Parts: sequence; structure tokens; C-alpha cells
Amino acid sequence: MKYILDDLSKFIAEKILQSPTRKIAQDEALISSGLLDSFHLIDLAIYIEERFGVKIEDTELNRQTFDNLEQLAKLIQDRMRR
Amino acid sequence: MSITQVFLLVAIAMFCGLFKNTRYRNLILIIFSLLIYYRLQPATPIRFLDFWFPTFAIALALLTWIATQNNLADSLKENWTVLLIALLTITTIAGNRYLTLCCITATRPPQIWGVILALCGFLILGFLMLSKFSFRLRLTFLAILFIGIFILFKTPEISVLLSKFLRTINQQDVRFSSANDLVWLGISYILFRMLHILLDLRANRLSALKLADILSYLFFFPSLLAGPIARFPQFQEQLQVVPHLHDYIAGLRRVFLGLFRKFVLADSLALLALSPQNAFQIHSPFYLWIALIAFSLRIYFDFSGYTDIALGSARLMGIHLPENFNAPYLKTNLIQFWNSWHITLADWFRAYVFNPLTRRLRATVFPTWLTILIPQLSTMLLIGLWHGITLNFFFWGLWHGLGLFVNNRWNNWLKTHPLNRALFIQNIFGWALTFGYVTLGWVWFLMPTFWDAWNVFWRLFGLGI
Repeated sequence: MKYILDDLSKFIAEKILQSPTRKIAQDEALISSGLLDSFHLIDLAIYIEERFGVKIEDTELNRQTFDNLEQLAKLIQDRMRR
Repeated sequence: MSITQVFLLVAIAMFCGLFKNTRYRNLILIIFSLLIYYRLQPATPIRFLDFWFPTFAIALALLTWIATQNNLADSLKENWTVLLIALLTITTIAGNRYLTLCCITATRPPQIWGVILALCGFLILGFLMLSKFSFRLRLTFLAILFIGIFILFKTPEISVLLSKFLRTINQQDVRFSSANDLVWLGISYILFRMLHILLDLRANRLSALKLADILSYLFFFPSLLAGPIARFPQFQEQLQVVPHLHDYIAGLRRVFLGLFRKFVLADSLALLALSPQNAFQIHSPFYLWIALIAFSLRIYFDFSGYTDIALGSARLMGIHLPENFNAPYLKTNLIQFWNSWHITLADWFRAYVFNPLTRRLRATVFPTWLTILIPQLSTMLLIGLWHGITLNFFFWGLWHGLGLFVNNRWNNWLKTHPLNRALFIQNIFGWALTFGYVTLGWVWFLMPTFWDAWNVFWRLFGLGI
């Protein structure tokens, strides 16, 4: 789980926010806080599919499905186990 | 909706919440939801439409259920009680024609044999679809049917033709035909809920559907009038929940907040708000702005008030509906505004239009700015046209689509040119700009024609036309 968290945190900070020094806490709100917009979520979903081989549906890119790194990492981990 | 009607709905919600057995609770909920749907449908100038519109919507739901089954014999065995309840509710309401007691519908229902014949027609159509077409073809047919109905009723020019046709077959005067003849309560919400079910079935995100779940979801009485558009799987889960004391307290509190927002704030602001009637009586740009700002606040309190009443009533049954607003007028940019205004509708379009389109464009060689502009414009134009297929709503969508594009590009520029100073002033400026932009956009939304909106738009800046 930790490597997923670190990986996602690094991707969001470097590629999405373009701020490599930025640290994203596990429980930091990503969508409801406005940190990630709809385009960022698509980039994140494409990255997750390529990096971890799990599908994040278009209907899942919302705050009801995940709103922080911990929830997203858990979702990825659960799907990797299937 | 009047205050009396709201209290009646609250009482019915509390009554439904008393049933601790969720199976019985859901059956009672379906009966009340269908009855309330008929009761809320306003009288229409064309004979019997206030009966036919709800009947047609329920028949479409039954058709959808039949057409989405794999083994109808097994499904009928499991769902016959609910099917019988739905058919009996419709025929009982139609039977009110022959009683002098009271009418659930606004006017006297049509002849009962016509109703039975129409229902049989729908059921036979469902069975035919099931036996002749493949599963995917049935879903496609239904999706086209629903979009077609939406276009028919949301395009005033087509609605007038339909009104003429209906007046002709009813032997009514065609000279009075108007798009206003065809007020079909809640149909935009019902059709988009149905489309969500079809699209998710098609993508294998949903499995076998129970008729009780579909009917409760589509006609759930707290959210009939003004949403929210919950997602079907989440709603299904909620149907298994029973209310506790804290739900009653939270539900009632939310209903009273909604009543205050709708009947005190929104209705008071309505006295001051810009409207098609007073827009040409106000000559000073200053007062025009005051009236426009009052409209901007009024539409928010009105809509969010209804949402509070919906969420509160649902909570009295232990059901949590999704939030539709999150302080949208306090946001400091347009992207945040659209994450907090009519959230469930925006989420619907994100899931089925914006996200798939953006994914596809990301895989092309289009320049980045185009992969941003195309989905943003298409999504916002469709959100605009969801309110009505007119030039005004098209411009309202365009206004927001372009605003979101500029906002996106600005945010992108800020990544490499951060403005670290005076964050407070930046926020104040961002808030004023966002509120001003959204408020100005309402001109397209509230005026009845494009040229009226154009005229008011320029007069706000002292440029009288």
C-alpha cells in the first residue's frame, strides 16, 4: 500500500501540480478541496491504468468514490488483488 | 410547491420511515411516490395530459425493466407484486373518473379502457423487444427513445407542433397551441436517471435490476421536482437503511432550513429580482445590476431550498441523498463554482460526456488547449441545453464553457508563475470575478428570447439598444 501511496503522491506533485517539493498527505482532500480538477482526474486515471494495470471507470472519478490518496490507494490495491 | 404540500410530504416521509421492514417500507414508498407524482403534475390545457404524463413515465419505467431482463419468467416470479402494485395504482387513479369523491389528478382522468389498452401496448412492446432484439440493441433503442422524448419536450418549436397534434386528436382549438401546454413534471430528471441506468448496464457496471428498486429510484417522491440525481447503486444501498432518532432530528432540521431558504429568502428576493416582466421597466444600469444580483441569489436559495427539503424528507426515511450544492457563491473561481452548483447534474455529465471525451482526446495528437476546450465546451453546452433546447440556454452553456476554459488556462499559467503574495486580495478578487461572471451569465438563463437577453446584457453596461 505504501508504495502505491508514494507513487501517486509523487505523480500528483510532479506531473499534475508541477511542484516536485509539494508533499501530499494521505488524508488530504484532493477533489472536494479543488486541488485536482476534472482534467487532472483523467490524467491520474490514465496513469493508474498504465502504472498499476487497474481500470478506474469514468463514473468513478468523483469525490464519492475517493477524495484522498488513502482511499484511492485502497481502491487500486483491492482491484490489483482481484 | 406550497408550504402545505411540503408538510404533507414530510408527514408521508415520516410515515414511510415508521416501517422497520425495508421490503414493506419500499412497497409503501413506491405507492406513495406514484400517487404523489400524479398529484403534483399540474393541470394542462390539453385534455387528460395531467394523467397521461405520469402514466407514460411509469410505463417507460416498466418498459425499461422488461427490456433489461435476461430471463423474464424468473424476473416476473420475483417481481410480480411490485408490477401488480404499479399497474393497480395507475388503474385505481384512472378509476377515479367514475367516483365523485376526489381526484388525485388535477382534472378528471380519461376512460379506463383507454388506459388499460395503453398499458397493455407498453407491456407488449417490452415483450416484443425482449424476444426480437439483443440485450445491447434493446438498451440502444431505449436510450434513443429517451433522448428523442427529451428533445421533443424540451424544444419549444417541436413542442408547439406536438401540442397542435394533441389538440387536433382531442378536438380542441389548435389556435391556442403552445409549448406551455406540455408541462411534464420532473421528466428531465426521470429521463436522465433512466439514461444513467441504461449506460451503466451497457458498460456492465450494473447487474440484474429489481423492479422495486427502479421504481423507487426513478419516482422517489422527495427528489421528483428538483433532484438531486442520485446514482442508482448508492440509492439501492440506501433503500436497505432504516431511520434512527438522529435521522429524524437531522431530517426535520434540513426541511426547516429548506423552508426558510425557499419561502423566506427566495420568495422575498423574488420581489426585487430581475424578471422578463420588469427587465424593460428598469432603465438605470445600477438598478438593473441590483435586480440581477437579487435574481442570482434568488435562484440559489430557491433551488437549494428545494434540495434541502428533498434531502431532509429522504433523511426522515433514513435515506441519504447526495448533496447538490456546496456554497457555490463563496467560491473563488469558476471551476470550483461548477464543483459546487447542481453537483449531481454536473457529475452526470462528467461521467458520461466529459470524462470519456477527454480520455479519447488525450490519446490523439490534438494540441493540449484543444483537448481542454472541446470537452469543456461540449459538456457545458449540453448542461445548458438540458434546461431547454433554446438559443438562450445554448449561450448560457457557451458562456460557462468559455469561462471554464479561461479559468483552466489561468490555473495552468499559475503553476509556472505562482503569485505568492497577497493571497487574501487574490481570493477577494477571484470571488468577485466568479460571482460577477456567474451572475452576468444568468441574463441568458432568465430572459425568454435571445434578443431580450442581448438587450439586457448591454444595458447593464449602460449601452442601451
